[in-house]
Amino acid sequence: MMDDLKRRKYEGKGNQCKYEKLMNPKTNKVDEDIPTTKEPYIAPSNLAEAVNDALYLRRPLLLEGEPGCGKTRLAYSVAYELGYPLKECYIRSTSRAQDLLYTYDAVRRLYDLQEGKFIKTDIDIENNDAEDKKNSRRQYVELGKLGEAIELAQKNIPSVVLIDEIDKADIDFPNDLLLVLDKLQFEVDEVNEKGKRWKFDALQDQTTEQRRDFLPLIIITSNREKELPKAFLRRCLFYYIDFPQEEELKEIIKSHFEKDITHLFEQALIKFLKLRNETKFAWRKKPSTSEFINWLTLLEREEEVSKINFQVLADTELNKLPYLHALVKNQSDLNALEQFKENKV
Amino acid sequence: MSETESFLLPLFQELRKQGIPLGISEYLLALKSIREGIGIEDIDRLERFLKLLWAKSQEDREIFNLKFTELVKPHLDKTIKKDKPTKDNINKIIQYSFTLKDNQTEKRTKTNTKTDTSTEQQNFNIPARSSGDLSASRILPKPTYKKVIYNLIPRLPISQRDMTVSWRNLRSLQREGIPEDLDVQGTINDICKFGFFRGPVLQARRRNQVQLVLLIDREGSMSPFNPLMKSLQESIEKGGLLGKISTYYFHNCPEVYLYKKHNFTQPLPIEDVLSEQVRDNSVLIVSDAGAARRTYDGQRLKETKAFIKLLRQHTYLYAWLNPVPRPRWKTTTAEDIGEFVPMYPLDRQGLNDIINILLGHPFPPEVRLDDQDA
Repeated sequence: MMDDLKRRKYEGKGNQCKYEKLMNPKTNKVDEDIPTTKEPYIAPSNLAEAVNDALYLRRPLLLEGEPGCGKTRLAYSVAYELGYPLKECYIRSTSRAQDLLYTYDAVRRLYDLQEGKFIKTDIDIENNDAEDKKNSRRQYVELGKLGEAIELAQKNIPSVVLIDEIDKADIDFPNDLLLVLDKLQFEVDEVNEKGKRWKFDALQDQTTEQRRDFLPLIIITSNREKELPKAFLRRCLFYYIDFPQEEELKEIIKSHFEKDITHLFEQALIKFLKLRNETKFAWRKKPSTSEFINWLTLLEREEEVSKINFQVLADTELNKLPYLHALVKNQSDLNALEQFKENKV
Repeated sequence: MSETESFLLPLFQELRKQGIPLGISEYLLALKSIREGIGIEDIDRLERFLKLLWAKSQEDREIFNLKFTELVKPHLDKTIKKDKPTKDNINKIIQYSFTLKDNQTEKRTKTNTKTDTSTEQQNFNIPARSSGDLSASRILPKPTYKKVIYNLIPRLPISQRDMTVSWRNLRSLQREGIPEDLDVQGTINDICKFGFFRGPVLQARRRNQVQLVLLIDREGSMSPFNPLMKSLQESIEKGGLLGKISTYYFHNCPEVYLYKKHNFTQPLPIEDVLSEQVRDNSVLIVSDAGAARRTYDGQRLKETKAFIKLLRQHTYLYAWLNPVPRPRWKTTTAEDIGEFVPMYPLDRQGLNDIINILLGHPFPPEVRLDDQDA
């Protein structure tokens, strides 16, 4: 089953998963974290290429791009297509690097201890049967998502790790992650058995190259609210997701709505691009792919109850378009649009 | 062995010179991957692959594009034009050109060691190790190739990334907010005190307490520094101080009013700003202090002194950032202002000194404000 790991490549055409889904060694079933629903994600060929390069080099892939251009969805799409488990870390402003690896529930242990629950020492465990191991400190350790991915890699299961919006975290966060991203190993300080800490190690004393096919692919997204440290950037591959071209947008629509472009969609696309590329209009937040898809969903519903058709849409001025609130997310943009007069040619 | 080196080293070095964070391992990784057959389908693919690995932001990508066309493409184009550029061939040609370059470097290093004076031979062998190869390739008639490349990417004396690195240190951590972390020591102390376990003692997480007030000089002699100022402000925000900065503008010297907008609208009385915003927070004044136009203005000096005296009633954490290099302060108002305000130029060292002062380090001994009136 593992033989084809080397051959697995990402295409990004919104296609079905072509590979066998990976098994979880614990449960001996298909891993629960593998996305099961198809992700209608169309990646430009350069992006798919970048993903494959990142897969080959197993270096973290840092993605930037305007909000709504599909940075986060890419990770789903990659995990689905490759049949890899997806480990998602959503970063908050209070997130710490340590939390991605593991948390140790010292409070619960304290309570257990006080309530007289039987906690055995290392010597007891050594003397007694394996059943007692459950009572050891290990049970108070809960692995974080990155920790889980490293644990999987240790058992020769690769995965996709998404570290979403890394720039939201404290400025120490990326620096604290450096060593882990480099070595893909960590120790649980609180569990010290016979003088040895509980250790997770994805590389298993081999080089990245030798272990390549089993290591997690780490995808990091950033909106550049904070500048990442140089040492962190050095290790990453960087890709900027551009807003898709017209042809790519058509592909995206086809993939999302699973049908050919209707007249309505074609007209909507024209209007949308006109709105987006209007140079006289200084956008605070330009509508992006995700807004466009939401808007199309609304338009499609309207067409079904025949409230709108493509000709009506074609004759509508930009600032009178239906469901503008789905595209324009900002009061000042809305106001500016209201005063905006389209130049009739 | 260092085979493909000759080809990409100039590009790599140039990128490093432009401040892109790259290390030896990134260079070696690129070479290794290329030898393993990654990214050699055609020139564009090679460019995309190297860009993925060697450019770290949108701005870096611009620089990369420029330098790639300048330093690498001429080599590849030359070798490709000799043969028929069919698509199947390109792959072979790139590989061929790699080996070709190796031979050349070997030859060149040999000639270098043997005869130092044979300059003619050096011209013959296309030297690929220095940026000199650019001029060599330009001598050859290449009508199809763009000759002049304009670099319109603004390059500041100090990059935003470097500034951010410094601002990162402007932090004083204190526990604040809801208690959420277990305080092990506190819990043990508690158990010892009472003889039994009452419950865990929690403590708040540590947060950055720094509040920064930026006072920026605008217009007039400060106009040329606008891009630098913009970059400075962004670097402070991205250094993790977002939401903890308040910015006010003034012209030449803060008098009576400070302005919330850079076009001098939304005026606020200085007294209000000082008492509401400053209150023991850090204050950074950014101005050329007359050094840009190399003038001495007694009036300006007097007004500045008055302002600093006022400021000192509210905080001791203040410093002056002068975008003009230090040698040009001589015989201008800046020199005299620098006697009573800690003033530093905008470079790595200057920024670090400023940050130390904003965190409460003492002023340098020669800087002092006497109470006698100017």
